[in-house]
Amino acid sequence: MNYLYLKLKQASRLLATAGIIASMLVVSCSKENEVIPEPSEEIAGVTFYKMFRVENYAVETDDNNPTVPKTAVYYSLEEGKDVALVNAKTTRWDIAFNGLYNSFISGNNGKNETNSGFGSNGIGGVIIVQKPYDEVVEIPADTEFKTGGGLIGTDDAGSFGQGTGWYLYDFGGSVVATGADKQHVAYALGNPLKLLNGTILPARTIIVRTAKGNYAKIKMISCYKNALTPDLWFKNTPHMYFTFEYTLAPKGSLKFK
Amino acid sequence: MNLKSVPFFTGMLLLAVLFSCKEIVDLPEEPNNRIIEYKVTNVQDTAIYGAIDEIEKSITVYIPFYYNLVVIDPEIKLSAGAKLQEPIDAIEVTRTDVVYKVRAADGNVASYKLKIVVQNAGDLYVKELSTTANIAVYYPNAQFVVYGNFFTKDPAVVDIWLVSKKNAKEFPIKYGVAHGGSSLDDKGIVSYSVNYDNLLPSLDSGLYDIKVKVFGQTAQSKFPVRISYKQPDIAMVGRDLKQGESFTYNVVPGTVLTGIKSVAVADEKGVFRNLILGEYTRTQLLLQVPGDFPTGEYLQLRIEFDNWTTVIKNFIIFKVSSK
Repeated sequence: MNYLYLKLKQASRLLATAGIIASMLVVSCSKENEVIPEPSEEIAGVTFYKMFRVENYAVETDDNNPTVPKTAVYYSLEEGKDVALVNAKTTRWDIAFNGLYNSFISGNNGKNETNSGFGSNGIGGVIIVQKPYDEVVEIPADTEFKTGGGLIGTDDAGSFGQGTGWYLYDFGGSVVATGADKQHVAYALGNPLKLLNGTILPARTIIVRTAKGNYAKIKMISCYKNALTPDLWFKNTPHMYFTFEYTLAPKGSLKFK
Repeated sequence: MNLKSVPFFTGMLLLAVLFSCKEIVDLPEEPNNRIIEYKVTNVQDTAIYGAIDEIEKSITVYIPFYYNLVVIDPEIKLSAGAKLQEPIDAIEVTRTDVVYKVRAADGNVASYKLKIVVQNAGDLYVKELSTTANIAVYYPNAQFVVYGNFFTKDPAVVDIWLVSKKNAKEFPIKYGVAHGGSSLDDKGIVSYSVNYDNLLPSLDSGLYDIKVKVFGQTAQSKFPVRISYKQPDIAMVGRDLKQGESFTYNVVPGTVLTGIKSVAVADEKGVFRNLILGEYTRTQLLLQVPGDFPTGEYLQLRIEFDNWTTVIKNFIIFKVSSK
């Protein structure tokens, strides 16, 4: 009996030692690889608190008829994909790109007559704040979201501004950079932008209430194909190819993290 | 036979009958490729369920007109393990060709035909714009308003055509930026209008009927309207151009461009010099300043036509500078 007890004690010591060594190995491995698990969370097939990136999301453009609005396009932030036009009056999409150059963004709301989702049961909306994406933590009150169509586009700091926008349109090549090839350039404001007069425009972040009532914050990075910084944006750089990043938070949240 | 033995034999008989029925016959198994629920989700504050007919293999969805549904977005529940063969998008309420194919886990496929019935409040009608005595006149590239009991204020649901009296050709009219509004007609019935920013600029002149289709119902006007052309005109905008530069002018709404002979600008002395006339559409004029055009400010624009009166307009500013 005593022999058995001693053997068990030995075995338990061995196991404890092995456990300590194993945990040391795990700790040392995790330090070496810098693996930081993303605190994402999935509810009903939607992943929250994880940043997604969409690159070169192309929409119809016709430089020969710049003032003619193009067919709207719809994107589902929750599913991370383009949504066919036939689904406009459903809750399958969260943001619409429409208006001139399809550059104006709105949410999906079924109760606002000017919204592409009018008549459906979408409860979405959008607002834009002058704050960098990473610093946007608080989710605004539901009453602050605007529910109309084609709401957020050109910024007042540039030409044809319509309030606070996600991009600055430099019509004459005289606000951000000079030169003929810098005319008609659309500067995305996901990051701060320095103007010729020395002013630095703070970054803008779009906050969306999705069609189903979840939330997203969006950083608009560029509308030019494979060109992500202002020095690469010219009049003839292929456009409109939206690159943006976003993070979702579930319905009822007060914060993005 | 002794009467006392009757209950005994009756009991035995009943037992015999009972034991003869001991074999249990199972009901036939339900097919596992069924649609068990069809729920339309894109309705505000409620849901509409489709009626599933397993004999006819159909789903019928009744949609009251006041929901203004252009499409239905169904959520479909299937038998355990079954799948739809094709992904489903939202479906326009006017479609009649939708068939769902449900594949069971064992590979058996069942097909269900979808029937959408929009329940309108009555017969569709289009309000007459003309009378027997007076044919209403409209112009291409102008606003055009159609009235009727369209059961909706959403112009996306309303299909409208002008139908040529000459050759019965149909010209669809797209709705513009402005949405419709509701009003009371002379019979005290609520009617809806759909505003069109631009009647087709390419329309030929002549008589046209108005045809409307809403939620599967079609109506056509009894009296036609006349499409007519009027003097073309240009919306003037100031220009600061360089020699050789191209630019455009748009027409004034309600007019279209046809048969342009020349376009010129006049300097301070009233001397007109021709610009290079590029291709033009019915609504837009493409021009170019010649490479050797004299620099300076110009005061007037002149457009000469084959069949219209020459247009002369004053510039606010029209300046040409060297390349």
